[in-house]
Amino acid sequence: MTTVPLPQPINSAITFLKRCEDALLVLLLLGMIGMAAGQVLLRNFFDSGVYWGDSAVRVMVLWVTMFGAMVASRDDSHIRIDLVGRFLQDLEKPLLEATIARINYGFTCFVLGLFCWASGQFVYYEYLDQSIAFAKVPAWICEAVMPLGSGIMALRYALHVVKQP
Amino acid sequence: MIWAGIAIILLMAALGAPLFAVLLAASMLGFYSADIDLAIVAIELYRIVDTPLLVALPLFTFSGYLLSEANTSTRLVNLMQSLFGFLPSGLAIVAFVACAVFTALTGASGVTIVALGALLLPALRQAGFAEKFSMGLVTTSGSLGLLLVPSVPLILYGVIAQQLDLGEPFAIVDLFVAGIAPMVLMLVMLSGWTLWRHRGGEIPRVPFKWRNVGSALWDARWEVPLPFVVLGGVFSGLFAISEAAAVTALYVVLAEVFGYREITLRQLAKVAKESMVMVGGILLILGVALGFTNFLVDAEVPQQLMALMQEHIQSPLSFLLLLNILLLILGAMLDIFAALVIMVPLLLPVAVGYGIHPVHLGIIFLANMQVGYFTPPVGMNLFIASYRFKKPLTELYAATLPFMLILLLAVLIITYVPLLSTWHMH
Repeated sequence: MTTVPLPQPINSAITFLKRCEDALLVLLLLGMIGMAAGQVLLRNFFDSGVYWGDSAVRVMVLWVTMFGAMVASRDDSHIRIDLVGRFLQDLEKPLLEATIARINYGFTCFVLGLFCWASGQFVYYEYLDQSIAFAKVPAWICEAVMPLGSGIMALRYALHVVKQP
Repeated sequence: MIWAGIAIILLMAALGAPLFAVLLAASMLGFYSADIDLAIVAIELYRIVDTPLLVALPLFTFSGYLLSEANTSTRLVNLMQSLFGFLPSGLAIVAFVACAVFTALTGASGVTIVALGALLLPALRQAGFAEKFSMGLVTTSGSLGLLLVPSVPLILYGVIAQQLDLGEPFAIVDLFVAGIAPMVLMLVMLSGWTLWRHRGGEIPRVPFKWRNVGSALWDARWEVPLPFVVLGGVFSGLFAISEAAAVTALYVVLAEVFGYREITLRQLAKVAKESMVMVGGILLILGVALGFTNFLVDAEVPQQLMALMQEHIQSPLSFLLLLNILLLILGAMLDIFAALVIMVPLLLPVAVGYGIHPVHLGIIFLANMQVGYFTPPVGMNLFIASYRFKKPLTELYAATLPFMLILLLAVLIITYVPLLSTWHMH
């Protein structure tokens, strides 16, 4: 697959981002296992527990969701209802297939961009509000993963649009 | 303007845009048309954080991925074989049970066909079963077990149904118990048919040996306690479902990485990442679907749908029959997670209107989906088996047909005998 050449700094940035995403996914999963299993042990054997632990684990689920989805958008491996695609493959019209794929990418990019803006607003309201999610962590930091993730996904889909199939 | 938007969104869905984008666009358009600030969509997605049950999803998915990466499938089949292999047509029955257990742990993502099928197919042939029979068995059994704890679609149905809050509250454990009898029914019917088909005694019996049981148990020593960890944790109430999932994940890591030393730390990271990408895809769809569902409920779409249905269909029985047909078609065409997030919010209120309990509907839904997996022409199991075993699709259609008829009969019984799924709730 040939791609439109990107300037070197951008390519390095993309590689760096990929490594961060991969590492964070693994760390978040280990964090969830450790924290949730730890709570069970603490409660049943030591009759104690971390009072913000459960909330933290649930926030990690949201983060895993966004980061997992970001990784899935690298090669657009998201779940879809592909009714037309199956017939298109049989038609063997590569140009038509590629055009439809680009329209899909463009649509997805637009929707994600809109969501990035909407969720950014939400995070901003929450920042002004200064509410607390758990322990001393403010809610807006937990929520910031939504505009961050959707923003990066929107950029990825924009890249898919210009990529040569 | 709004109608143009709806048309575009439907077109994009048909053209194969990612489902999350389609649902996101639909809910944003909906809220926009109702003059509600679009930030609501983010608030809805953030509700993932308010759903403790969802923690179980990534953790069980990860455990399943890890188990399918290790040699668990071989040990599972060996153990089942040593225990039940002496029965007439023993290996076929072993195959049904092993596939059901493995699918419950890994989800019906095709892993069962790839991992267990490759193991069982030659073994079945060697034991004297015809190729067509063996092929049909392996292909259909790839989704057997969807109804068993801790299958991810079962948990997801529970999450969606509980979010809808239809005045028929149920505990998630009720849903787990509900799946057991229908599952056993399917196993009994499949085994019964297998025995009847091979009643001539052409399959040689394998004698039972304690020694084999002992060595298979020893091989599986780290994994044998696993069902007790999962089931004991879930049903004893000692810890919550999400905690059971965490203990399971921790246990599986310890067993496969440190007990068997089959998974290196590098592989562990790879499995962790892959499983979390899968989870991210599912949960993002669920999260945006929650927003979309709320919009539908606000717009009273389920009520209107119900009024429309009740105008034409009076008896719950004909509703159930229609439901079966609809779900079979959907099961063959849609990804199971897509079907769950789109159809459950629409169908469940209608079904409750016909007096069907949410727990029963869940079992009906998943049982139909299970059969949909190998319904020709596009059931996913057929493609996976065709690819994996290098057989033409038409051959697989023929091979799976008898199994499909039996499971369809089972689905009908499950649908029309609610007691099978709700006996424990009276």
